[in-house]
Amino acid sequence: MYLSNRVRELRARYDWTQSDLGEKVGVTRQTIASIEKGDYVPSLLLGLQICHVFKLRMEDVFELKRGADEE
Amino acid sequence: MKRLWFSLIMSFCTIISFGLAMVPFIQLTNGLADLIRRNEDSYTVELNMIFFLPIMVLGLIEAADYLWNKRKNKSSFWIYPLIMPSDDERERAITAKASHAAFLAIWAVAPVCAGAMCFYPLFEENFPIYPIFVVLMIPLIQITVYYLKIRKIYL
Repeated sequence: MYLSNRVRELRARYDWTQSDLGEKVGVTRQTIASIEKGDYVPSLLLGLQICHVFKLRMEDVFELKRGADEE
Repeated sequence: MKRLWFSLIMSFCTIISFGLAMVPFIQLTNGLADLIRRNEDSYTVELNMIFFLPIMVLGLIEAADYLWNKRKNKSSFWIYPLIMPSDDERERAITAKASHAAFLAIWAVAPVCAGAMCFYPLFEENFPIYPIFVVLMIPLIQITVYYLKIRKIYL
């Protein structure tokens, strides 16, 4: 199982840079980049903060997916 | 990333310079040991101050760099130039993992160094700073492991 997210797509929709989003949720640009790449799974608090700035529900931003070997 | 490499190199240099600064003290205690063995009244010892030079120069460089970057530095001067990134949760998580790896490295290296100390009598004459060299291997390996793990933050 892994957590996929639409952060990159939503950020582009709002025309925000990674730094802009990072500033809004109080993390560094590198952390936003890691979340977008799927290298880092954010904490529940950070995940909810990201949803809050995009004015969306958790399930609209993050989705739990099965890995290829779990299908 | 630049700050990471600067910090790693300065940490290495600090440990090596500290080891060099211990050389005159080894000479001093050797002289003292001779005095006790021979039971003589007079005692002369030569202290080569050149060995203190690297640590003094490094101290000046680090103090200047610390004051220059005072606004950015959140850590104490006494642990400078070590860096412990903790600006957000990801950095804190990576720092925690790096600290864990460094702790495990000490766990593995300390017994090896203790074993290496058994060979001290072989080097006593030609390499009197052998025990200092062996003990300082522990922080050298520890910071190497720590920085290898922590560089993930900047990738």
